[in-house]
Amino acid sequence: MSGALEIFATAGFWPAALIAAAPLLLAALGALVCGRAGVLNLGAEGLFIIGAVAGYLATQRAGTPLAGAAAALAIGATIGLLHGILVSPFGLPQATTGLAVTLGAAGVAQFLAGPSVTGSARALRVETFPPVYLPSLPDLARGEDAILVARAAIDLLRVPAAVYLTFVLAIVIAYMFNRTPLGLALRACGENPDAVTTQGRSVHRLRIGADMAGSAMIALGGALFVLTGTGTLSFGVINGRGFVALAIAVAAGWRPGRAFVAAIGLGIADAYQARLLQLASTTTGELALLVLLVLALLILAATSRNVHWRQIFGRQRAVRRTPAKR
Amino acid sequence: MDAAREPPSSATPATPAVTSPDVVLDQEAAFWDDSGAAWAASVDPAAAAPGPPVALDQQAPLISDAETAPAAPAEQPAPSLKEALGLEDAPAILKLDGLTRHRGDAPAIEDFDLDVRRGEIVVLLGDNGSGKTTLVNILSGDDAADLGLILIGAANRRRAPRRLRQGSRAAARRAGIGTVRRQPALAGTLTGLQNIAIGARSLLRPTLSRRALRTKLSELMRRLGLQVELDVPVATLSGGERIQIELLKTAQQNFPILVLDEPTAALTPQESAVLFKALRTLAEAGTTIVLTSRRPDDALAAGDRIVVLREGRKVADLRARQCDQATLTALLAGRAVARVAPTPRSAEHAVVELSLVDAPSMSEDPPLAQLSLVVRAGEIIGIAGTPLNGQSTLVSVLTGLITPTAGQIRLFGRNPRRSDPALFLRAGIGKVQGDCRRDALVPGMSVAENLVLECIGDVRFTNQGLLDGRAIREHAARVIARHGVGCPDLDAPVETLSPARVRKLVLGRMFDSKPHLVLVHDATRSLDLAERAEVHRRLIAERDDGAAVLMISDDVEELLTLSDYVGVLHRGRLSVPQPAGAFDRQTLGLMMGGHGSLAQDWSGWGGGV
Amino acid sequence: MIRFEKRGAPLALEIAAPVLAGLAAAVLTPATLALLGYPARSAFAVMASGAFGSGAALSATFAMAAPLMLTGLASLLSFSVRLNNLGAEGQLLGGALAVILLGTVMARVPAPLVIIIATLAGPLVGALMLAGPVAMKARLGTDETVATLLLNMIALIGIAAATGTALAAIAPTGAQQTFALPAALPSSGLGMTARIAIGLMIACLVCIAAMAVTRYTVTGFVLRAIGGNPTAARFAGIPVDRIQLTVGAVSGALAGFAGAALALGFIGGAGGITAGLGYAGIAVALLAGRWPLAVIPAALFVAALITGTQALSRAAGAPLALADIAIALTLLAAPAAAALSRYSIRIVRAIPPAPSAPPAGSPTPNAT
Repeated sequence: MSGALEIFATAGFWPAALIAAAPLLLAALGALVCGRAGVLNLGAEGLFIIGAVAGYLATQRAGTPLAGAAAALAIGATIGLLHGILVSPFGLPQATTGLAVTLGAAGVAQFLAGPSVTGSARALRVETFPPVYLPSLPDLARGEDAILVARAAIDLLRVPAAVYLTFVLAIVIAYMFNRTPLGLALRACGENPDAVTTQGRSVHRLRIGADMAGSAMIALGGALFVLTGTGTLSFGVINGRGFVALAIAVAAGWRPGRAFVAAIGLGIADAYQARLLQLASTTTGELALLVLLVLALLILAATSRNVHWRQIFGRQRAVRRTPAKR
Repeated sequence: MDAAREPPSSATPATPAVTSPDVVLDQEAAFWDDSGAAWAASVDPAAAAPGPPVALDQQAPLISDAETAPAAPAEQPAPSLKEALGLEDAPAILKLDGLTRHRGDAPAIEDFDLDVRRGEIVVLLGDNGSGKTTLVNILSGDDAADLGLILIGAANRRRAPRRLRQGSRAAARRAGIGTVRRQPALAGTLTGLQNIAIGARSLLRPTLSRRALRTKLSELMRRLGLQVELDVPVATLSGGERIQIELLKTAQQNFPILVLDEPTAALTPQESAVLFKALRTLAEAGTTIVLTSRRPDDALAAGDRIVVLREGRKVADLRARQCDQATLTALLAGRAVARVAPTPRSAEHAVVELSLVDAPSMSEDPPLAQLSLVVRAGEIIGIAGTPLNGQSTLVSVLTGLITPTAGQIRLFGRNPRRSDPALFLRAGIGKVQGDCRRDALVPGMSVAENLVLECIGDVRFTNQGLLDGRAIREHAARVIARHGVGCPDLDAPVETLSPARVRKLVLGRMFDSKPHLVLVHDATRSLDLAERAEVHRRLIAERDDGAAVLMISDDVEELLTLSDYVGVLHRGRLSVPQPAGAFDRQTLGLMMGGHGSLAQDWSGWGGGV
Repeated sequence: MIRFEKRGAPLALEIAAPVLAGLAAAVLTPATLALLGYPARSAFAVMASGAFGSGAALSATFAMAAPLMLTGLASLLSFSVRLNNLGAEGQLLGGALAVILLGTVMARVPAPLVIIIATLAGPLVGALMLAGPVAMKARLGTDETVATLLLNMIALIGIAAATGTALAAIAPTGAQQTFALPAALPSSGLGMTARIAIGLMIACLVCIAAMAVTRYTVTGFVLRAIGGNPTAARFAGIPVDRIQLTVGAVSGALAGFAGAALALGFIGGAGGITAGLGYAGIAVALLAGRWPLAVIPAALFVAALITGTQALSRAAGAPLALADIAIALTLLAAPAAAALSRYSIRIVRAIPPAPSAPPAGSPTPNAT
């Protein structure tokens, strides 16, 4: 049992947890932006995958992970535009359209990646975002405990800048939704679109814009996972995380703060079971994913009361037979 | 080619169309500049004022006697454009010319003409089904007329009047028409200030524009005499407060023309008075106001000019001071409709008792708190209250849909095993919900199928588990004939029916089941005068026959005429029902607004306002 | 002015819409292939021959049609009572997984007994996989959409582990991957033709039965009421939550049965479990619209679409994921066509009246 707990203290654990959490958080933020505006983006899975693949390929070609990030953003925004147009002005049902995006984007991703990727692991590594440079503490004889703690703290912070930016983005999005007219208008789109049209704003434009931004974020999340992590593509790395991010967004009630907490929790779990499997000398991407999926399902079940589904799925206000506990 | 949005029902087009799968063809969007720059220049308060400002607490009309424009009766030939736009003092700003809109086989409005001058307040007075909502929809751009034009004149007469492109909300807004609907278009979880902030010019700059907005709104509130909290979520506000926020939202966009659809429907008499004062202030500053109403006294209080509509046609166009309530009522009805009143009768055993019931809230309706109510056979109990004060929750509790979290329900003296709509139905609780489209009927099914919805398990309609289609149709035909439902086509999908027919359908279905408790919420919504009288007659007949009747309504006259006892529902609390004779419109209005001078009448009320 | 007015769709349009949607998907798939830079010459010929061109092609198509009918019906039933069940895939794989696990655990039990138990276990697992999220919906108000998607992936990983297959790098739906069945599994030992025949027979019977129930019985009436307006159904005394749970269980059982039958060799082609049949089933349900009987032709079409697209990918040297793209296009086209079929076009000529002339007559005739 102590061995199990010791994992938390191993070097590099906490940075790994943060690195695992950031892409999930980014994708969840993307899903959240869409969801607040009234679009349930079930295409999250496909977007994450195609973002990862595009990021991988672009980085491979250009030699710098920034190219990968840019490619993912571009593809995500384009898909978001298409999805937004289909869902908002054309009014196709969101669930099946989102599913179509997942299937379609994943399919196109396979085309992009080429036949070799459909094997089990793409071994070639690409450039990843380097960790932020922080100076190491010198070795001192005195004050050992404090030095250890400080060293651990600095270790923790040694993650790529992209990870920090994701956390900052969460704060920015929270601010936007609460304080800026844009965020308020998006929230109104999700709750009562008439409140928006009666002030001269176009609900369709807002929704499409949110869809584009959100989809771009989800795709970037996929790219980030490859580009801050191992730098390779494999099943456990890219599949399923889009759905997990969606579950985070839903369970968090479309609130960035709660999504942050959930993402950190899942990141810790991910890093933990990765280490555990390493110790047991089995590594399968599938098993890693399984842990995430089960946890996501549990989180969803536990926090379901916080979600205002009726505001998203429409005017049919379902009547509850048993009273909701407030 | 004019593109048209899907034409909404003539009653309440409040459903958010953009989330439905309907195709929305309006590709244009207008970002209304909140400085109203295009119009601000032409709205010159000093120029062409309609008359000396009058003190607001009087109801004297704003147009002085020196006004030379005659009232235009419908029989005279339509004046030429130039004449209509006038060489008189105030230029005409809005002209409706020959508007006709067909719906199904009957015309909703027919050949409607109207000239409105700047700064006038015109009230379109008409009963349900007279076409006033259709006119509002056409003006707001939600609908387009089949024939006829709308011309918007420039205030300074320098420009020729422009034709309004119908059927487009954005075009209506750009032309300067702002609309306030019966159900305010506000996002519930946002505060009033946040709702209005959505219209800010710059979407991204937060703090600066909010402070400026707050100052602007405070000033506007002071000017219009409104008083409402800006920093609480709109969902916690009452109907009257929401309309105030909606009015602020629309007023600060500086529309030259303001159209309001039955704004007083959800207001107490006192709140209506506040609203009319605010409208007068706006009118004096040059805003042209068109509002609709069903009630002659509202029309007299609100407007300078009253245009009476009946069955889609204009029947009169009068100055407010030239007529009185009786004339208007006669014009509205077109024929004498006998008033119905019940004869006194003593009540018998209790059918339904609620004691100290707490029930959770349903969507936007507040939860019930400590509600006690007894309804006896042979009496009519009326429950007054403006919408969204717990009426739907009460209906849900009484029909078994919601289980109370505290307190007791008793049906015929016994506690039901659990709250189950099927159980309550079998026990004899019949109901007509407030929103029949949402709660009582299944779209996609025909009229006949909807008529048997509540008793589909009945052995009459099944033949060893298979549906007996013929029996269903026969039953439906009988119900329609017996209860005057007026839907001749049994196979018509129920979503094609007009709101009036929908309500009669649900009423017929309920009456046919001979319930012991007749529970009706807004029994006569969307019905015209004759139909309303018929329903009243029927309710009295049920009462005389031994049923218990519980009427929930926001129509004060209806309640006072029919009920034996009246209670007021306010924020989920019910006052102890008193004999109807003890109330008059004013007191009832005050109580509906939450101000009970008879504080001891509130059960569980925390002593006062 | 052209006015679009919503109305009920006449039968002719209701049938034409999915046909057009299917054709659109079939046409757009090679177009997408060309867009992605692959040769798409004489694509339709390749697709047609891949679906119907030879005996082998025909049997592949028909073999796929039976499980598609079952998953399509499962999805249709869920949608008809307002359950957003996207989990037919997981329920199918779950059923197959149950069979595989049972076969491994009960290796020493005589085969016929194993087969019987497994045939019952498959639907049971499928039913539980859907009943869980639906029960959560009734109690807690969770939406089942995301939950069923997560369960899909869990089942996919489960079956990959159980059959020892490594999953492809990009395979969110596992699509077009085939999981080989362990040799120790008791199989029905039926030949290909027998399997196809039995599969089609069972699936068609189930669809016909579902149609009869929906159209002609009280249960069907109640289901339609819930699908039309759950609130009104509740007020009318219909136990909506209980019925949704039951329908969820039935739907999951159908998909689970499909999985179990595939694993036991009663239906489907040789070579094991093909993933992706559940998602294709959703496309089938969308094409079928409201009536279970329409699932039969819809499933045949989607099966042909998949086999044809697979042939096209092989011929063009493209990844098999093209079939996924074809399904995605169907998922988009079917609701679009259905929505368009519900509108009628009325051309109304607005004649502005001259100031002194009487108002114009009635509008010009409808162009419907």
